[in-house]
Amino acid sequence: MQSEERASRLNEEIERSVRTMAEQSPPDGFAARVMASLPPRRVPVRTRLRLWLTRPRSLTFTPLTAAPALVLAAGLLFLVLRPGPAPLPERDALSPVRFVLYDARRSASSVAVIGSFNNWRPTSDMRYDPAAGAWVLEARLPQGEYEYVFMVDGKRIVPDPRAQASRDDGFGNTNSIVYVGGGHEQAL
Amino acid sequence: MSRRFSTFFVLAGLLAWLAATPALAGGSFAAAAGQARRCGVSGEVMNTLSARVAQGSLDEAGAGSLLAPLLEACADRLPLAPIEDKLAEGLAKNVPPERIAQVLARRVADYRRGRELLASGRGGESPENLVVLGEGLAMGVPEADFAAYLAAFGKLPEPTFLTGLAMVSYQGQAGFPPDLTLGVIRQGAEAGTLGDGYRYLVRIILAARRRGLADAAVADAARAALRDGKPVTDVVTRLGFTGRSLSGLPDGQ
Repeated sequence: MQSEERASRLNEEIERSVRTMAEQSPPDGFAARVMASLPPRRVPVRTRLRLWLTRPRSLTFTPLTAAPALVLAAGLLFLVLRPGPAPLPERDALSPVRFVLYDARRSASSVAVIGSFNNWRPTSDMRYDPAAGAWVLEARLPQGEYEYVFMVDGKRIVPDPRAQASRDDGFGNTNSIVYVGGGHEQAL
Repeated sequence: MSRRFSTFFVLAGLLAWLAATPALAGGSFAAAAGQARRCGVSGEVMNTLSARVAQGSLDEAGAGSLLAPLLEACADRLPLAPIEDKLAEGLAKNVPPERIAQVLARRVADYRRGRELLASGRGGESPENLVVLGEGLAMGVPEADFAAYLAAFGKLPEPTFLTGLAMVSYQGQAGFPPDLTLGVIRQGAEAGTLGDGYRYLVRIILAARRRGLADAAVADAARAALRDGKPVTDVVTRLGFTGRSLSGLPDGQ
């Protein structure tokens, strides 16, 4: 009991002494030494990024220094927004072409189309359509102008009587011509 | 002495010329074939000729004479493909070799003339332009038509230039008045709307004729379509018939 009273009185004495003692500055380098003794605090990257993004900044520039940047930005904007080159024509696109040679009595035993599209080889055999009374070949050709004739029974050359156009072949015969324009309006 | 000497050189020169141009002399097909292969003549053409020689349907002199125009084209750096195509056509139709050789030689001459025209009117050439012009000349389009086009539109950028050139060629072959062709091209060039599809305006011209429409009406419709920036299919609409009836024949025929 007596020891508690003694401790209480000592505390009061210390408090009074602290309150009444003269103000003094901490020694030089005290704060730095204290901070240096503390373990470093690791700030998460996300927090640092948020702080960097949200911290207000001031930019100072002169018109002379800003001009090149503005020119560069305008150039980049032009490159991004300028209209692209016109689409190339679809020269390689294939269009349907129908070759027809009427032969109601089926007097020929075979008919092929030879022309500049198959190097004049009798590889494009036509099929006989009894309902139409005609030899027919459905082909698909790229855009272009082609000369052709029908080869009947492997030897007889016959121009297409329904051709879009025809011309002298220079050998004393006539070639038929088909113009394939790449559209869907091909009707021979 | 000097007389014998000159005779010797004349004979030596003649032999050298014959050796250098075996095909022109109707000589060794094998030598001409080797030269043709080195020039880039297609293997298909060479195989066809070799097969015919082997079968006996074509003698070596005839085969050599067929290669001669190709070798000339090669020496002049002219496109070989159109000449090869004509050769294949002649062989497929069993045309006599000497007749084929004549036609090929004429074709080579047309290409040479085409190249001169392009060089003078455009200051250069591209193989594609040369083929269109050379074939046009070969098909009888007057040289004056191409000269007029080159004078007026020689500086058009590609591919508009090629489109116009093809129009002059194809429409010239169809007998379409050249002044109407140039008028259509001029409208397209001024409006910047001469798209690739107009290359085959000739199809519409031919279909329109079958329907009794005048060439001037087609030219008017084409100019109007170009002025409005429309594709060639719009010309069909303006003329009042559908694209599906370009043949001019009733449906189902």
